[in-house]
Amino acid sequence: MERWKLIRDSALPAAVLAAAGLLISSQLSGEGALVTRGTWGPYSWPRAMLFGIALCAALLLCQKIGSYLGNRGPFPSHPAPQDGEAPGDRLVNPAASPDIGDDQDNRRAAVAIGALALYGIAIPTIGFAFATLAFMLCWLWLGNIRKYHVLVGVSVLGTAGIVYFFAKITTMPLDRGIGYFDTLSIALYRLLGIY
Amino acid sequence: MDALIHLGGGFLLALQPYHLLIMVIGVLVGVIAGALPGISFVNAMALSLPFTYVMSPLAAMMFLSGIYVGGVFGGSISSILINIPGDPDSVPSCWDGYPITKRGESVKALSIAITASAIGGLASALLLTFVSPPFARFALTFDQPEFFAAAFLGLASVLAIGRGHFLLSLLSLFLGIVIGSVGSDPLYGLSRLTFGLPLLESGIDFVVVMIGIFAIAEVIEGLALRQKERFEVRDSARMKLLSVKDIWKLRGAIGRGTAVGIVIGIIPGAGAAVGAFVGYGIEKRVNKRGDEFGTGVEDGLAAPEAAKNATTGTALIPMLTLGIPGSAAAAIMLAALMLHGVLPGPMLFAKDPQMVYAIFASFTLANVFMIIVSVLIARFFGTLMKTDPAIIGAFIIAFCVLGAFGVRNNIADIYVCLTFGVLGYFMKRYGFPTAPLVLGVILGPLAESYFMASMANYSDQISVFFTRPKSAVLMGLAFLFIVWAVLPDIRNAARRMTELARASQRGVKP
Repeated sequence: MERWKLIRDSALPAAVLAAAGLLISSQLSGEGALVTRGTWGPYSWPRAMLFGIALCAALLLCQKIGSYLGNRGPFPSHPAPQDGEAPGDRLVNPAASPDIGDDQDNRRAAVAIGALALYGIAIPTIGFAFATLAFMLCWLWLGNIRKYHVLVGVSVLGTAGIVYFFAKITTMPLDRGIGYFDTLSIALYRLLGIY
Repeated sequence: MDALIHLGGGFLLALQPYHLLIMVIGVLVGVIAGALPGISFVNAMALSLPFTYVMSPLAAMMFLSGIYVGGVFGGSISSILINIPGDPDSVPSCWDGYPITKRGESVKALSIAITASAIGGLASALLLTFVSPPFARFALTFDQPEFFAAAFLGLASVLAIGRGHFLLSLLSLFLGIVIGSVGSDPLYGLSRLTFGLPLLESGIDFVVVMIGIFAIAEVIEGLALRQKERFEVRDSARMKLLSVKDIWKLRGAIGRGTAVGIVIGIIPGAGAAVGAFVGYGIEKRVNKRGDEFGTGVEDGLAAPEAAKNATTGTALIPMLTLGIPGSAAAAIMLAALMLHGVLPGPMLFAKDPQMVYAIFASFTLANVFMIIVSVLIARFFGTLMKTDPAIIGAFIIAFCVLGAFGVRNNIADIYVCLTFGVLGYFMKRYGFPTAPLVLGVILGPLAESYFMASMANYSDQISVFFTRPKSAVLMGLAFLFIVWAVLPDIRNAARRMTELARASQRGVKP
């Protein structure tokens, strides 16, 4: 179990990052050589950084394997502050905080990510206004809000307010969607006094 | 004398009713957002960016400085009242602030917090006003190598903050720099790392990355948490400014906290959180009642409060004088200026001193209005904190989408923002530091362009960074930071090796 957790959470991502860093840096080529006048071309900087990623990931991989082979738990749940630890460590590196992922509901996280993806996809298709309305309804439902007047009221009024402010006042060219949704969005904008 | 005349003009400009109103709204948004657990002042600034599109550059800066100053303080309100920090920089305020509340003295705790914050913030704003102009004049002597060295120092200091987790922080930083280098290169204009995707041709804007990683990731995490957070305010949420007599009693803690915050604010990548932690740590060591800290000692609350707000003004010095943002908040302000076609740096002080001094004046005013706004709206905090996190989350996501879209009116930026939101969530969940990545995205392109220009102008000689005195000093400081950051990892590795060697000699497992 511990071995699987090490592979899943540390070794595999580190190995993938190391391989990706090397692979992508080796693929960086093209017109760079033609235009480069000196030692440093357009790909030099990203190539150096990708090599840095590969190196760091490889070192991390070695570190994790080393700590596992040394029979040391690779994921101390409550790591004690070490000598000389800087005061900001626990902020910069959440790894130093106690078990961040363990109190989370994976299914809810997956549904939330799915809702976000659908929201992004829906914007150009059904327009910003309707996509936002649908997203808000979905998000509030996911957040365990079951009172219909709150669910609908917050979603409808919130969407109307946001659309009015950004389409009317900041004149942001928000997507209206395609086909019927374009017509519906125009009708909504007229209703809100935007057009 | 010139500085005082410019400052007077700056105050006149900042005190115009429209500008003042914008700033007060900013402070209000900042205090409320800071007080709500789950929304940091950086989130609030990133989310407010689209609102600045319709403002003048000065109004945009006043709005954002209001959010910044108000937000840094606002986080302490929930720390003190409900023991849940609104921001990471408000964690130390829980340690002594909440015990004071538990004694039934929440008014006293909030009053100490607002007074110490305002004093720290005002001192920092004054330093920003009087240190920036000479520093900008000094920066006028900088050439490309010096600017690269300054950006490199910024990148190195990010590693220093993640001390003890050097490899992870470095990996995160490299990832950020690579993300920042997607799109056209600064010297030849050739596209890189686009993988044939047209949406990546114009590069990945750091504002979009910041909105995704800081705001969206936070909202996903909030929803994914099994237990729904319900905040109950135990005590009254009123506050007032302390009397001179009370301030005098706390003078040591406030003074030390302010000094620490001012110094830490200048260090790129550090910011309010590190300021608050270091301020608390130092106060605990030097204070006569240091052993009692954590039980509700007034000095233990005043020091971190003064320290974190004292970082706000000085954190802007590198951004305004060099055009190099040292923190996420400064980067958002830089983005707001750039969106309006204003390029910060030493030339800005020569070209448009009126605006620069109006920004300085707005910082001073923001600290004064922070007190007024907080005292006036304090009684509503209890109600605010009972707002369902799902409702706040839904609005945050909608504003994030709009903020990302508004950067370039490009739908692709929404996808990039959402992708980084999900990535940020997983990074947080699996303990991968996000701050170096974000700073890498911000500072990476700057560092690359200065590096490439230096190489083009100085015959590809890397030694140019070490032979020119100013850049050599900056590079030396950067390497010192790196060595200091890597030391604990080396020490731990050596200790581990010794343990293993001893264990194998004894023939037992360590």
